Amino acid sequence: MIHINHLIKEFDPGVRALDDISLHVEAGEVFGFLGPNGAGKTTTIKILTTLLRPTSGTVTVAGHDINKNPLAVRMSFGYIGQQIGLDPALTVSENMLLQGRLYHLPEKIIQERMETMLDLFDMSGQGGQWVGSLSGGLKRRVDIATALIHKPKLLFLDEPTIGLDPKSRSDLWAYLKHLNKEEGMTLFLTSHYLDEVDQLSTRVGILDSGHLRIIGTPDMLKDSLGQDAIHLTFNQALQPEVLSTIRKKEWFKEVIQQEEETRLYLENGQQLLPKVLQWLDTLGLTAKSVLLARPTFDDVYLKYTGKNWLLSDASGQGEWGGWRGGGNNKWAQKWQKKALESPTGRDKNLEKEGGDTWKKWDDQAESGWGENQGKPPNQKTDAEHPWPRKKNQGEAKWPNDAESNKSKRG
Amino acid sequence: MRAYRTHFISDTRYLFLKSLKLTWRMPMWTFFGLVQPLLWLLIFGQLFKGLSKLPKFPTKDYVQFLTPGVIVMTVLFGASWSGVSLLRDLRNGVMERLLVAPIVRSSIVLSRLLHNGFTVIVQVSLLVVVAALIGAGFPNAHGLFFVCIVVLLLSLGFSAISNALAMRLKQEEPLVVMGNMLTLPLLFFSSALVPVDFMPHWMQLVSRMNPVSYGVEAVRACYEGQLFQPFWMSIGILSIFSLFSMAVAVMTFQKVE
Repeated sequence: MIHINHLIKEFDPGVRALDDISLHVEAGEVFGFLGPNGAGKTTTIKILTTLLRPTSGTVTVAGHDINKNPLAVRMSFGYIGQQIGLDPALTVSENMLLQGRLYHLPEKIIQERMETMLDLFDMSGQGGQWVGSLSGGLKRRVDIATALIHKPKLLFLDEPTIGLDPKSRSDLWAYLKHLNKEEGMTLFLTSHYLDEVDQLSTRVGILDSGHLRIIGTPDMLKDSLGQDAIHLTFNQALQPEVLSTIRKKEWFKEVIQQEEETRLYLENGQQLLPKVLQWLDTLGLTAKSVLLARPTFDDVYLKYTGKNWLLSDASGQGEWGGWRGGGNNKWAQKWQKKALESPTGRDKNLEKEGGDTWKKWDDQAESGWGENQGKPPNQKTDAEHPWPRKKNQGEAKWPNDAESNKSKRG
Repeated sequence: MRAYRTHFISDTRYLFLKSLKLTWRMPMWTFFGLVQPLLWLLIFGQLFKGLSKLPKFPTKDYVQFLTPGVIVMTVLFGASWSGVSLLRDLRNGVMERLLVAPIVRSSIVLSRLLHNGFTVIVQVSLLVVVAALIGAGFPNAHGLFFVCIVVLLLSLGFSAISNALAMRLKQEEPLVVMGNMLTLPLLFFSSALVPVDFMPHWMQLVSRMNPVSYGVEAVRACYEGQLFQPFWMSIGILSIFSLFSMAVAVMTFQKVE
């Protein structure tokens, strides 16, 4: 269905947003593309949907080359963008009718398809509703129903559940599963929710700053870490030489360190845990806390990108992202830079002046953020994400991600 | 490829009708667009009433002179909003939907420009009536028809520029700033507010290169019923201008990433 060979995309010469990606998706698969914002997920999807042109490499979608025959490619897929692509000032059926007409379907068939699609998404009889008056979850459903009016065999979804509440998210998952299982539709979705990809995908690719780190089934990826994980926190980060001693121990399949926390991945953790602690004692290490858990996608992500999920997912998803930021649009980028510079500039002033009102404000925001309480703010992430960080970290802490992962561990 | 080309006209029509439906549902915006031109016509017209007493002033009443200028001004304001509404579509994902649909991109552009042209003609019709009520006179049927043609040509040209700029800038703020930065000087460098003879020599030279001048002159000729050679010259120049801008807009859309 999708064949990507050595795809490279450069927005500015020499800066690769996608670096040599090769990937094949067969008909009937659900392929999940996972990665933080800015990893290149949306860029990939925009290339596949002919919204962007690749710098080099070949891409075929549904048997058509995206460069040679873009219109045939566009006819072959349905597309769900990050934003709802419906006109809020039109009704549900007006939106669907227009979509059907633009795909050159006869009126009679459009009417039939409209009814089937609304039925499928449990919205029959709601064709007369204003799209603007629907809730986010319903809008998304109509969005997908509209995108499927020409019966494509392939559906692209770019972060389809962004901004939805947990109930709407799990509803949407059920619909997507149905489309794949009952209608045999190939789905290609990107997400920055680990559990979403885990739930839906038959295969997963992890993308990190333009590189495809690994492709595999969700289970395969989780199994590569062993059955259990031991999370240990120490008073301070372990020394490199201590870590390498731990790595050499035959029990562990993988050892990952995140500041004070060290995670040991192993088979049969329940039985080994006492021995592990004893052994650590002989090394002179006493853990502050110990947690035995099942590895989740969070761990998989950590292994392949070396980044903690919650911390890495902090770049600007807000108003400067999406369409406007995308593309090799130098003018837009210039404005964007200005908009981002001003808060950074303020941070610099703040360092010079050593704490004025802004500093206080900053501290308050910091203490509001539970995990950082009592800790000095992490200098590195501060520099990387000067401004939108706090807000977005809050988002990442959305119950369904962090909490559900934790409850799985516990 | 040919199969898609035959859909060009129907695609343009569907998109045009869709925009029209949106305008019909929110008619207030069409009227809001008239507020500023009306202020110019009523207040600016009163303020500079005395201008017509100057020797060599072409009309008896300043409002008579000002009306064609305000008509063209309405077109400029309307056109500059066209780009803003494009950004609205870009922001809420509607445009992305259209760009991945199997339609020729020029039909997206053309439907937008035609829609803008249509809205502006409605606005200008209302304006002509108001102007007639305060003594600007009324062009004959012939003249009225050609006013619409001039307005359409100008609006196609300027809304094409506005759409192309919007597609490049992708942000409201700079677009609105640029729109304001362009419209007023374009009007000052034309005979919209004062006769060209009253301008310093260098301004006269600039006004010769300004499509707005030709628009104002053409509308004025319609009002005076003098559809002779200078009028057709203006129509020719305006046609070239709008075709050129439309080509630029289509190219911008095709290149868009």
